Amino acid sequence: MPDFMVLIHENEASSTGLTPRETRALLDSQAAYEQKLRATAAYRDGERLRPSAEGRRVSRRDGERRIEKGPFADPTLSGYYVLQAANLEAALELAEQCPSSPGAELEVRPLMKGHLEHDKTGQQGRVFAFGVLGSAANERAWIDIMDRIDERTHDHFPAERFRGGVRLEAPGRGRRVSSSGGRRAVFDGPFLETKEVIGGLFFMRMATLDEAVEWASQSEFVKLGSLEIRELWRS
Amino acid sequence: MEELNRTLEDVLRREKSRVVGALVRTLGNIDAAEEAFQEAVLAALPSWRTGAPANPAAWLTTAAKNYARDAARHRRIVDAKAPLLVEKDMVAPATFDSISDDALRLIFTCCHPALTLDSQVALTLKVVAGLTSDEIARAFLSPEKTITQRISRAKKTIEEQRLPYEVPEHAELPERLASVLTVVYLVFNEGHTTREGPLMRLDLQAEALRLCRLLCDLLPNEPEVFGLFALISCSFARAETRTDERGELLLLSEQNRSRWDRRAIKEGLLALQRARRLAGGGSYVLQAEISACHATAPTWADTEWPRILGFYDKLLALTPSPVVALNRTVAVCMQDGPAAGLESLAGLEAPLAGYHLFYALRADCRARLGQDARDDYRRALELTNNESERRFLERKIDESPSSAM
Repeated sequence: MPDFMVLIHENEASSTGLTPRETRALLDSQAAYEQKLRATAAYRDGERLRPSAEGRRVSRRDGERRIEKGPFADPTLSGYYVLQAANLEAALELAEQCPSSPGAELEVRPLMKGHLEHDKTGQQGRVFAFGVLGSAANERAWIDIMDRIDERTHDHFPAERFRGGVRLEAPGRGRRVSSSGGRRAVFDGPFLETKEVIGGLFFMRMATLDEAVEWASQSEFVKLGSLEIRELWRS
Repeated sequence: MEELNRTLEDVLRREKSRVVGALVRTLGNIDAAEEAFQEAVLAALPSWRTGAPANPAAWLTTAAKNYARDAARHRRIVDAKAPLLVEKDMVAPATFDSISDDALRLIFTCCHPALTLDSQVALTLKVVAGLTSDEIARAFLSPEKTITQRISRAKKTIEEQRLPYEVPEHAELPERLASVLTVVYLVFNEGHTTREGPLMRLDLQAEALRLCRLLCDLLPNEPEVFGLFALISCSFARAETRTDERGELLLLSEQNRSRWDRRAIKEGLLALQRARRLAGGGSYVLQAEISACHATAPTWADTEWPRILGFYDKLLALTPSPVVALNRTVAVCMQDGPAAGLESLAGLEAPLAGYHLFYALRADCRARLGQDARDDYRRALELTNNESERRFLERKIDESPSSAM
């Protein structure tokens, strides 16, 4: 059965507006959802990201490195699951049951390849998620960028730090569901060069955020695309 | 310039435990490591003027090792019998895991049970958290000299008793970890309610939270570490509302809950989730559960008292203590009324005769039953030096009716 990644895009402004009791209820129901997934063997992996205010986006244009500090504009990635399902439809059905904060959207994308490591936060040190972002005028051009990044980076990771990573199929092969129930295409409008689209996610242990940013800015990823760096939440 | 200093200060404080940890391993003692660290910082000042390097810890470690090597060469010339530093060690690149282990070893050494508790606290704040002796002295309202002496005595004990610079063996870990957590808890508690003077010092609470976060990163599978983090974070979230605008103490029942720090509460809840998942938690996890109940209650009346009582019962079974029994009584009062509260206080006066909160709580129960509570309030007043608590109790005495209704 194929694997799908459910990317949870949260509206941070509205999730921080929840009362503590609402937050607790949400966390409890998410824990219950995850437990249910694990019991059905659909569950493959999942992590929660620390707030985007603590994140960075790194790119390199014309030899100059650019580092953007969070918080990023809503909606922002707040976590993900990897699920095993017979097809996109079945994956969407599972994703729709995932409890999320008001205004959140869940993006379901088939996994292209990669390898997942469990219990990423069970080892010493901090673990950061690196989202591989690319922008292009159309999906074909975007796939081309991702292919080129892939070629240049597949043996790029220092083994002692690498904690797995995956590449996603193009957004045209995925769907979004909103927390209020509607389903739609991943994008409302056409591909735009101003729109950064996630093409993969990988994980590395780093001592500090600065170290993660430094590694990212020296990497091949940021020459063609950019990296969003977010620490994993130990929860 | 101001900004540069601030950035530099942040970097230094954040990196100190990692760098000093690595240096203790190569140089053999904390003093030499701290000296080399200071020299490295002096060297950093001019060259970082244009911005800190990408990896400040590596930069500082290298600079400090260079200094130590030069100093060792110098000493060798002066004193041929001085122990030789193995230079190969100094240039051996630190691996990712060895750096984390260094920081952890440093914490376990600073919190070694052979040192007095006061020394453990002072040494940890100095060496691990990177506070200056002056800052520690101000935080604990002690003369700087006392702190300096405490720290140098502690270092001497480490030298003389040759306390091992290592992470304890698996079998020894729970006990040694308990002593590390006690130090962090004391730092937090000192910041939470000071024994004298103003009610809270947020700095110490923030420091405790930072230390605990570091422990979470170094010991990610220890439930009690996450329990303590959750406990501190949930209490920290309420810190700003514990006093009113005039600095007067506000009880949990009187605080403006809309001003509680929701982000800190969420952080606490997530840490608690991990602690639960890691099964095998102890008293910190139970205290965190109680603290989380309070932090998530919309009002004092609408607090889950039965749930809180359940956690207190488990806590009492685990660590029978009159103070825990006293805190449990607060929940009893809320659930079953002040008469039940008085009943559950009955056996506690003897062990808690010196504790002001026992008398404050009994006074509260009596006042709510329409009994004369002034003697108990006066007794509580005699027993505390905390200014804010004193004013609170004085107010209560003034407000109390002179006789039973």
